[in-house]
Amino acid sequence: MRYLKQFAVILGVTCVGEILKYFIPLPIPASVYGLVLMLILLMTHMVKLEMVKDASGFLVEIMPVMFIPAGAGLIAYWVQLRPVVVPMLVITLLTTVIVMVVTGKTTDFLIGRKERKK
Amino acid sequence: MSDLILNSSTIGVVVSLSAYGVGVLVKNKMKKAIFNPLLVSIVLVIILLLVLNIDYAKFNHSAQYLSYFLTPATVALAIPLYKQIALLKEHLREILCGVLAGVISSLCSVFVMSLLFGLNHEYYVTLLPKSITTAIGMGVAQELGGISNVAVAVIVITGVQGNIIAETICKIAKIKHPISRGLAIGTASHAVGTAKALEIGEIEGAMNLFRVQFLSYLCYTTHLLLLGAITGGISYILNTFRSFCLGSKIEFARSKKMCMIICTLQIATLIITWSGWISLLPVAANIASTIGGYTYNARKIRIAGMFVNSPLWIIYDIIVGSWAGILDEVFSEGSMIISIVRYGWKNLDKVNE
Repeated sequence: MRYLKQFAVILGVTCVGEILKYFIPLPIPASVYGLVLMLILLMTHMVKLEMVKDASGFLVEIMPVMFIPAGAGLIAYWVQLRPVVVPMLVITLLTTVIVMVVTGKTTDFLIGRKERKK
Repeated sequence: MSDLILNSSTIGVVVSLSAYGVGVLVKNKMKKAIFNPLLVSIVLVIILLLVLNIDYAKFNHSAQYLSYFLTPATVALAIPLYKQIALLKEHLREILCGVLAGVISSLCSVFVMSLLFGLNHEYYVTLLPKSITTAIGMGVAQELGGISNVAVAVIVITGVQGNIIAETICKIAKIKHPISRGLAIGTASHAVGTAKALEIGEIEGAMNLFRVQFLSYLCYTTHLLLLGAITGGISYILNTFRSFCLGSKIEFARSKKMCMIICTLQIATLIITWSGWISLLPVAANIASTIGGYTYNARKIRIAGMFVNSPLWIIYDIIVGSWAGILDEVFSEGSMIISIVRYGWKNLDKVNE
């Protein structure tokens, strides 16, 4: 019963997220509406951590598996992808490095400054 | 065989699960980041489909039950986020700034490189959410008109790359604080990089997790919402904000820093709403007048207005066919000329506005 209840809470919040998405149709997936809602519920203690802990742990753990079908869908899109595969690889690699350095250095600098002030 | 797969609600799921199992096994054996379980299992499934000549649509029909859990699983990401909320609150400002810098650099670099490589809009928006957690990124790419399957691949590749290079980059760039390291890895390469962060250290791992994604996502959203809108329109909203700042009593809003913030926002607007070189016009115009405005010098304001702002806006208005805009700019040109005639060009320096 424990899992069932927890799963029901998560699904309920997900459902409300989908309803919200219907009424506020921003270009954000319904799941993010649900995520934000769940966070608010947790922070306001309307949902206790114990009420969702185990089921959410399970869901997050198996998450990678859920992307396998979508990832394998690449073969269906290979025709579209082939002409840009090299630029895409280069772009992802370069941006990953750039973002990593910029984020790390900025935060490092700010935290360092804050600690020196203390 | 095809019918069997089409009618089965388990074959696709079982195949995916086994492939993932193999992926985890390989990862544990080889201990190399390139053998990311997700990457390995996707490759395995693709090979299987090709070798057995199975139609992807049929496989997906049978494996769709896995995707069903994607939305609730994304919602469940709120829990790890919530567990780290104390750490987040303590360093809120530093984290927000770091993530914001990361997001802007990500948007800019994707934009510039897409332009360099001549990728079209569809691929550009597919690449944009590359640093977001897969579940969210996939949805975002879809919402923006990108190709969601390709987005998944791009996101996975980004994660694997981040996982491989994280340690080296942190060393070379001398990123010291655990929180910054975690943020750097998290913002650049999301959850897949997390494993690596955990290997490097506890705080890095904790920092890295999904709340970083959440933050960066919030920033992304604000940006992406603007996508597709006319550059000029948004640029104008920023102008309104600038006027508000210039007229405000708060010292910060009147400082050079604010000027730089507004100019940065203008450039961000340009990138996000890019719809060809025409987008450059209103943004360049507004940057000129922003810099002019922050000099608090009537003559410089006029120069920026007369020779840069208004002419550029007029060209933009003509191209987009906004008669009201043209009229407006012609009037402001006129009013500027009148003020010059009235006060005299030299005396403008002394006019206090």
